[in-house]
Amino acid sequence: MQTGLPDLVLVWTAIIGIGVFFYVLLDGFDLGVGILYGFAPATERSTVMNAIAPIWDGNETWLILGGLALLAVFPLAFAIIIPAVYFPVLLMLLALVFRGVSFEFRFQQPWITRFWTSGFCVGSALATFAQGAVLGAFIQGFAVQGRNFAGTSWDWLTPFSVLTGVALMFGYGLLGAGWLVLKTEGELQSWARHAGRICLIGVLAAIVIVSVWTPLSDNAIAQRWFAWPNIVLLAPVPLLTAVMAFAAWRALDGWGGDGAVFATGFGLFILSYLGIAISLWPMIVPRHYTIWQAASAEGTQVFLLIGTLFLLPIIVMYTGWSYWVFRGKIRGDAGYH
Amino acid sequence: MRTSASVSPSLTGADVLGSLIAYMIVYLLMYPAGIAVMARIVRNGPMATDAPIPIVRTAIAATNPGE
Repeated sequence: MQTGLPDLVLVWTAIIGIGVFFYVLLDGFDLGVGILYGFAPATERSTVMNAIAPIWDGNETWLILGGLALLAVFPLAFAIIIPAVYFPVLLMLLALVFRGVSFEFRFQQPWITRFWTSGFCVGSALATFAQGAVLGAFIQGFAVQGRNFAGTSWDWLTPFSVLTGVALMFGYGLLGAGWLVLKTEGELQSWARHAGRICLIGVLAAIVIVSVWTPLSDNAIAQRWFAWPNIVLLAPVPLLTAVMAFAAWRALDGWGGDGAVFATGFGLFILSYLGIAISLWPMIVPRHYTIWQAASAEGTQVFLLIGTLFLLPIIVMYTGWSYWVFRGKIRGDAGYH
Repeated sequence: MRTSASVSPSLTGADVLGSLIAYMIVYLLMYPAGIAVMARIVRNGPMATDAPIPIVRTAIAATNPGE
């Protein structure tokens, strides 16, 4: 069907790609703050929680956008990927339940505060691990027969997916530390810088291991990066990553002000995300289906796009507004609860 | 299409049973905890800071016969 429209598959890939990145960045830092919460000094914990209390729930909007867009626009990819990662997605959802109610229950039930404290930290950590494992399983690819996932429900659990799960815990921890540096002062801020340093070391180790592991295990990815002239054209990605890693290290020393840790963490995430996109493009089910093969009918795409183009500016507007309202440093005596 | 034909081929009965039990455990923990939270809020009653700021009668309100 020739409608004179631009290639909507590319438009939708961009919407889902940017939506998922927003999710990773925004829910990433609040999940990271949740993980760090378990390690923070007990006297500072309520400040740590208050640093994300007013804004955390809106961040999950992007996960729902990404999931539903995948179902509606790339149904074939949804049908293969989601059964393959059934258990990590289940783990993520149940962990998010614990994490979500901890905000409300912790302040009301001091007699089991310790339970909700660990619920908040462990819930955040498990949800993060599950997301990282989904990413790892996705990069490794799934057993596919025809238009179905042909493996078992536990195929996702591999050394590589465990590595990416742990890596994402460090990554979200780094974003969370960056957020705490931005939002707090004094002792808690120095603690956040120290925690950020540990997370940054974990992140850099993970980036190196994944960058070596994926081309060694997948010839197509090796070709994508190392064949001429790609090796020259793509060289800026690893080089910029090295520069960003150095900047993040300096930012943790105090260079660039309070926003620099978060900004450089964001930079490392966007470069890693680009790296994965370059490795896999244009496959949406790695090694089996491209974005065009997995897309739904063009009429469906047009229909969905009209609604989405109205909704996206509204979401961006209210998200931006809530961040603006709750801008600035958080203080122990003035909270959302 | 019947339900049996549209189910994910990889999903076994044990997978479904296991995830159902996991959901049940989480909800069996959450609901009593939530009821305990609400019961505590009710038992404590309204706190002094929850009361609205009293409205001071002004000259305009006092002269208005509709008040």
